[in-house]
Amino acid sequence: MSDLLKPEELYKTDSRPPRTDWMDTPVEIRRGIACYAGNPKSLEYVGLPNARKWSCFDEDWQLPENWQEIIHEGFKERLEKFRSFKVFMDICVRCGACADKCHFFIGTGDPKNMPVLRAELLRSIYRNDFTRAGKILGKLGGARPMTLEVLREWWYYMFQCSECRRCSVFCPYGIDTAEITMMGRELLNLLGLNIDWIATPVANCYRTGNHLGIQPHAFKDMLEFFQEDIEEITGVLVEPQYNKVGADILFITPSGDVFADPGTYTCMGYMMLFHYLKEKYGFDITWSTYASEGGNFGFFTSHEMMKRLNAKMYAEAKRLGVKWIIGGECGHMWRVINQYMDTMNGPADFLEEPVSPITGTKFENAKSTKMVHITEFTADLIKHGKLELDKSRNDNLSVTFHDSCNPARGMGLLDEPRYVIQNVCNKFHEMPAGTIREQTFCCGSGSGLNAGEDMELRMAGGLPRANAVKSVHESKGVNTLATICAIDRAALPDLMSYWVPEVEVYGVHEMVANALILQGEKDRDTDLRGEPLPGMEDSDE
Amino acid sequence: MELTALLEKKKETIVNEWFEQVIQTYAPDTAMFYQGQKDAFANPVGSTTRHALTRLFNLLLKHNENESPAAIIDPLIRIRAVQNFTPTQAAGFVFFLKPIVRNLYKKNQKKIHFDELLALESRIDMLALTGFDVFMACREKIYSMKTNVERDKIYKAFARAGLIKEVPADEPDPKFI
Amino acid sequence: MNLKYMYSLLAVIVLFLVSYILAGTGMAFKVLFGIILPYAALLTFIIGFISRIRNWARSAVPFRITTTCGQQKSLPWIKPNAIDNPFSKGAVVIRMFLEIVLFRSLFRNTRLKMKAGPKITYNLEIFLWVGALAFHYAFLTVLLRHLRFFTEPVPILVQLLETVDSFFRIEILYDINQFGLPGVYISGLVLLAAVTYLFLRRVFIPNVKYISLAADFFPLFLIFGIAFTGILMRYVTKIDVVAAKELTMGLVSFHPTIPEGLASIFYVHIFFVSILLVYFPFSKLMHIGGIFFSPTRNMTADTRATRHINPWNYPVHVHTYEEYEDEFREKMVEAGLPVVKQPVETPPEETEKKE
Repeated sequence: MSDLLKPEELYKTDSRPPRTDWMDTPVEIRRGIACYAGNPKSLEYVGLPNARKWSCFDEDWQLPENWQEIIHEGFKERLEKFRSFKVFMDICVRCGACADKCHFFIGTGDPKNMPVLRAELLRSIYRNDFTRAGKILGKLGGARPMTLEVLREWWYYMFQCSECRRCSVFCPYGIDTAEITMMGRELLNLLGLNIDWIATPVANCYRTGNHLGIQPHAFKDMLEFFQEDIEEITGVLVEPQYNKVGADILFITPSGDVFADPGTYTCMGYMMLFHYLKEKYGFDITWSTYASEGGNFGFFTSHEMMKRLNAKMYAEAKRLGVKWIIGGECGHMWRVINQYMDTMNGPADFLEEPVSPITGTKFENAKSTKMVHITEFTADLIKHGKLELDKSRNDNLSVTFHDSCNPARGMGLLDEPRYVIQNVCNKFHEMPAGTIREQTFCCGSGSGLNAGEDMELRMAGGLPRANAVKSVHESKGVNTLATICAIDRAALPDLMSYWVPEVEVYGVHEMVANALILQGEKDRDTDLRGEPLPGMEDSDE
Repeated sequence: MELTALLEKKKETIVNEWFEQVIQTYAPDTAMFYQGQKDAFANPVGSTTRHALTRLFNLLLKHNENESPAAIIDPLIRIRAVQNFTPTQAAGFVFFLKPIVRNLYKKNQKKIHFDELLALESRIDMLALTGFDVFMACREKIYSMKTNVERDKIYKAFARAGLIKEVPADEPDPKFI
Repeated sequence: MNLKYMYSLLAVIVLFLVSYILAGTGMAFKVLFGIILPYAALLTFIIGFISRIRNWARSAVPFRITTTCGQQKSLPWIKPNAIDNPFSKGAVVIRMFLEIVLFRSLFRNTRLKMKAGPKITYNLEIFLWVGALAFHYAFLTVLLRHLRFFTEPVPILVQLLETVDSFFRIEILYDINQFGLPGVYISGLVLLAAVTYLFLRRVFIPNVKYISLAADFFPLFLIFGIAFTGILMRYVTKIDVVAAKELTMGLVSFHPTIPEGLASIFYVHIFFVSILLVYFPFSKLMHIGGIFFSPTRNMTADTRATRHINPWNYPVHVHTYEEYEDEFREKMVEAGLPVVKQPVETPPEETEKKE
């Protein structure tokens, strides 16, 4: 025994890294966490600087010669343009209230994912470059010069934040890490440092109108597929209108709903609802192939890019001469619409204040922006008894609702979707307090992080959400995770398949459509997914 | 029999010590949070770790024999498989139990048969191997999800090229192939 | 050894020694610590504070980025959370008031359910909230109490505050024969305790320790020093209050004097306060002003109902519908989608992209 290592010693070989101060701990860019760099063609297409082929795992990032100056000037400009940025750089007292509120910190355990430290990455440069105390005291005052090492750290951690704003709920000064991450990413973009999962959707959206680069005819093709599916399931042919000049209302939804399961079922849901309203009440709504994207990955790039992509919504509404706009189920799209669109691309004085043509309800809260969330619209229809619904068709679903970050903390859309769900489903269970409503946990893939190469990050970041789902799955038999966000619908199926494989992800309007009784429909025996309806399990074709 | 009885008696202390050591595999600031925050929903890593270790220990004491060891160790390994760990670090925590039990044995050498200790150690070894199986399954799951994303991209490229109609009418769902 | 707090501690100790020793050496330094520095410090504080506020105010507020922490106001039959999702300016005022007076967001950290697992559990989050409240209110009380040194006659409110604040009065006949203890002020003790707590959590809670900077320790030590010297003077060394007031009233009335009989410790106290005043505008202590400027808290959440104006909104490049149709016209027509311009028969070379 004597010359053998004792087991204690043996197991110590993999002990954790030495404890160093965060400023002295060099960043290690890891596969599974970091995303691939933006495709130069995408950057070029939308005129983003320093387009080139590079990778974050390279030694040489091929930065412009004067990159430090670019960062410094960019920083300065943003301090003047955004009071939020300046104030948030100055007033943090590092009380630690936010530290354990971030899903990425909770899941990955990486201390630099504590929101306060994510912000300190920028603050340390701010102090060095722009404050007297920082210049005099240097590292003692929490300041450090901008080096390549710092830049790598910025890049790594600015793309480990999903801009969910959960920390800002708990901060005594309302410091919002989303705001800081947005500035960080803007600065990185000045040097051509972007990730492909954001840059390419941005370029696609700019060109074709949507993230996936679906051309107009293909967009229509996809909806035609859904028409066929809907006809097969319900016996009713729904006929969406496209680019119709003079329609009453324009409908815009994230293209994820058109192209990626299970969002496609939500898209079928919208089509059926609109068909129902058209047949019964003469509701006149049009889709647009030009403004065929609700989402806005420009939001994850820069304020300017956000504005450039968002401009299509009002432009198309104006061109088509509609009265107002309905927006589909999407998370960050709604933060942009609710808090940015009118300011950036308004005033929308060519539109009318939104009034539901069916119930007469005035959407007072949207009277300036003139865009109404589809769950606000549908909740109002249900409240006024305008929809014929057969809740029992969703009886095989035991539902819980995931509040998406942006509608929750950038809007406050909490009870509308719940009202809709509870009117189309019999079984609804909330997840534990502290994980829903304004305290909801992110799916772990928001703000353009729902790529494939960062799957470990996504799974770890989504753990707090999955953990809450798991608890209601185990205690209440929940098998359905409802959501009103296209990124959720793309990201949560992966998350569920890793953590709670028995739970499926649904959009709210998919469930609405399952319950909705169309005029002249046949006896339905399957839901939109082709699964047998409750009680129909034996009547296999 | 003696050893089992002793372990049963000292269960709480042993599991605590084991938990402590597993948690210490994280950075100190993180470890403190994982250890201190008792709300299971605010701290899934800490609570899952504690819960899983307790059940694993019960398994070693043959309390819940009808449950599969893989099912018990799964939640914990599943977390560590996506965190910043090497395979050894992710699955090796099972071995942390050995020194703890050996120390206990040393203090009670007279009462306990050595064979009992060996038997328990073999069970720990088996558990570690099970843990490694689960770890591999988790990693394979991650890889397959990554592959699916790539597959998805190709499928979309097809669609963009207007080739979507060439694909058989029942369009394959790229996620579930 | 944590260098971050050692540096700060050392700095405060050096400041203490320097002022203590020098104040004992003669009139010149007494004038420095008792008159020149306080005036200079106050001036620095006022100018610094105002310029920081002006600096923040100068930056634009381009977007209304309220953090909504409750149900929005939408359909008339859905109950909105008026305070946490403020639709009106009045609601914002209430939200800010609760934030500033009760530290409401910090309170959100607190979870009520606890006690699981075998160890004794402690709810760190509530301590942060309680500690922060205790600290700030004690500080405020101490500050207001000190008005008695700067006013003559002492306003009735200040006297009332003193009465409420003090307990344990065994000072009957105190003024006549210096017998017994002066009334013990709760606020001073609470301040000392709270500062100590805030310090200890920075040392003992690993993640708070990890994020702390030297700049986070310095004001804690300084305030500790101020409270400590204050308490020392009041209860132990028993300084000559009348002389102290003579000095402070001199400062207020711009007829500064250095009265006889003030111990060095008094000058240390004044010196520390001066340092705090100077340090204040250049540090995180400015959060007292910053909170009023925090856009996620001080703005209404009615952006869809009333348009917010961005002062620097500028035109950007957009991809217009015309450009879009030009690129995809043929395909659109083929798919039966409406187009504005009908396609003209052109040779296929002309497919250049426009930006």
